[in-house]
Amino acid sequence: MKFNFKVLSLVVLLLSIGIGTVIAQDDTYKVAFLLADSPSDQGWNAAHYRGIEQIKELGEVVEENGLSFNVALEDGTVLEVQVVENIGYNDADIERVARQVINGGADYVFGTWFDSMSAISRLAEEFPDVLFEHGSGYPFVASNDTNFSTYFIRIEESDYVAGYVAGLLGYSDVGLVGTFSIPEPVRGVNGFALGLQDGLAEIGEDPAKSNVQVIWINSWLDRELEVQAATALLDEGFTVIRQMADTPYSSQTTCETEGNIAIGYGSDVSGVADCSLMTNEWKWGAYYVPQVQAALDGTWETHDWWEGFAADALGITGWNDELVPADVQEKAQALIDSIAAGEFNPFCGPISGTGLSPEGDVVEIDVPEGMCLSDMDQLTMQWYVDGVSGEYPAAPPDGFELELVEAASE
Amino acid sequence: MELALIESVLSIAIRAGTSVLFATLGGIMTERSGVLNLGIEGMMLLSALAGFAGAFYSGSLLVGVFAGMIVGGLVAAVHAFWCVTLSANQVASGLALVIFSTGLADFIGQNIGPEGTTLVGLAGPKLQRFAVPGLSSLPIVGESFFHQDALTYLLYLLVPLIWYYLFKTRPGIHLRAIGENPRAADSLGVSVTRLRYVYTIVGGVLIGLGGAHLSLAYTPGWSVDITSGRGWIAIAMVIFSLWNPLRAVIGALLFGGVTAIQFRMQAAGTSIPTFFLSMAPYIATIVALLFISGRRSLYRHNGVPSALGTVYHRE
Repeated sequence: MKFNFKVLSLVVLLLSIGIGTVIAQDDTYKVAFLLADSPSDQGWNAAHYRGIEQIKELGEVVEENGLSFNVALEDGTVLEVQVVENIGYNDADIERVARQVINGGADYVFGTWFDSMSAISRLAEEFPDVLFEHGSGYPFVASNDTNFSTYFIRIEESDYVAGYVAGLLGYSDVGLVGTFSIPEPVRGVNGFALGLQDGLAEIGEDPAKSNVQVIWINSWLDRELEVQAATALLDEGFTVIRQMADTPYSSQTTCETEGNIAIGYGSDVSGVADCSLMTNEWKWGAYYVPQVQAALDGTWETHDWWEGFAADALGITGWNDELVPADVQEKAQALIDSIAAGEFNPFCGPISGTGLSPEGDVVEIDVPEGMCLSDMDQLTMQWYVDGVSGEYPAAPPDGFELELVEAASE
Repeated sequence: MELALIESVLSIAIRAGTSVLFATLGGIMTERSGVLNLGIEGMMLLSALAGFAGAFYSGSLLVGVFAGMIVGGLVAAVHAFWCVTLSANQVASGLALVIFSTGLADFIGQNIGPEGTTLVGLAGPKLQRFAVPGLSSLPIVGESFFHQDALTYLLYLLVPLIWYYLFKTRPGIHLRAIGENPRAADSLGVSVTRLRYVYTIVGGVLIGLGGAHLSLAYTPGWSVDITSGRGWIAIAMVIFSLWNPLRAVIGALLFGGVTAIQFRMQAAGTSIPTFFLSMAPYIATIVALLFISGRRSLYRHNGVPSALGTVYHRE
């Protein structure tokens, strides 16, 4: 408490000297969002910023300064939302920027990308009076009981919907441009493939004949690699390309040739890829707005938040009405509703798949009917469901031991 | 490997290698005159921006390409002014240009979109690939070499032309002379200062074409850090080529082919460690350097210009 007060008063002092005006600081609350790249990236950071901007709904915007803005709340408090972009992926850089932000008086700090996890968790220990959040990292491992939460969106639920739409339209061979072959993207690939197979089965096609061919670009975003990977898949004869990097370049490349089909991911791609069926996108605002409100109300608690359609944290945008008939869109919406209501879980058996054992052998994995993958099973998912081909994810050191949970009875 | 695979890998390698080859040729022209050019990355970044912005606002690809060339030439002129007129350290000048240009390109690009917004995500005109009648039906090379965009075809003409110019013409001898022994060239009445300016700018124009190819043809549109380090690759390729435009072609194809092969291998289900493949162009560069070191005879037509990086003072 003492330390924070000192910092705060120092900031006040500096501000008053610098600007020449003394502002009463006791009725402001400062939230800082750290971003890896720029919100103009059409991808991950664009999605986060869409969510951050929804915080404006809490009150009236009284000042805007670049990406940052101040919101006047009904009770007279001024909520300062500071957004720092282009921090990059270097741990030391991230910590430096986060420290500056905290020294600048931030009460609540969000690290919005995987690489910010170590810096955020170190600082959470050092500054017990500041609240911290980390998105897209390791839940259950990083968070603590006092001032550090984690959050992430179950994007694979919407990956399943994207696959389901492609399946309903009869596309059975899909080339997929993936990022890293680690559990999070692998879950998405598997979710997409399962949705594709269910969609195909629904229109009477044989789901066993479907094929999702993955190319991993080993990068979260890289325009060049996204273009090259999409090109390689198109040259291989695929005409339907599933984008799974947040940036739209694989979809854009796909649409350069007439007759191809792209499926967007992360942030609406219809503006740059006119052959895209739709985009399943992140809706971070579903988390940011209530969390900031809770911090203001003093009801904030630590947790590991991991939600999807049920919390309205996912959306499907950019429907292409020429390529996707209305009844398919309606079916997708019905599926979304049943996932949101908890009636349907894409990761319930029967599911069979394969993965690599630590010895390098291909082993079979089975999720029997009536059983589902537990959260932990999903967080460590390093195997493919049947129907996915590509370079296998690295084998887990202890092999595959699924804990599985029973399907919720209806 | 089946033929279709070779064809497709070659096709991607050429597409990916085009901008690098332009930049490498530009680097060769500049460095043959004795001016070290470490600023290629910066020149490419600014010319890629100029190329896209020019085409976007004028609606004309030609304007875009020329804008890229002009900006490439202008940045190179700054480099020449520092290195030739002011006799500044050429390494420092090149590196300073990269740092400066990176920031400037981001700043401008994020602010000159419609109504002062960003250029990222805007779709402008783009160079389409088209098949050359007749040639494109040749086996293997047809679809890969002769189904490309106009700038790539321009490159097919430029490579032999530059080689011929460098090694078979009188002005080419002058160019090499000022890079090998400026004092001797000067004593024969060749203006070292003027020619170093000319070839640094010509190099910049070529590098500008590489930048424009990125934002108008290969990955149409503009984004931050659009080059993703190609300027640095080009510097390695200049060395790999031993300052010879023909060998630069091999370097560019190698560079362009590596990722293409890696992705095709993934799609085909075999896997070579990704990181090994990414190293391949650099390993090839080091091997090339090892190969020429100690072989003086190779230096004569291929090697490092003797006066590279040195300031020439007329006495």
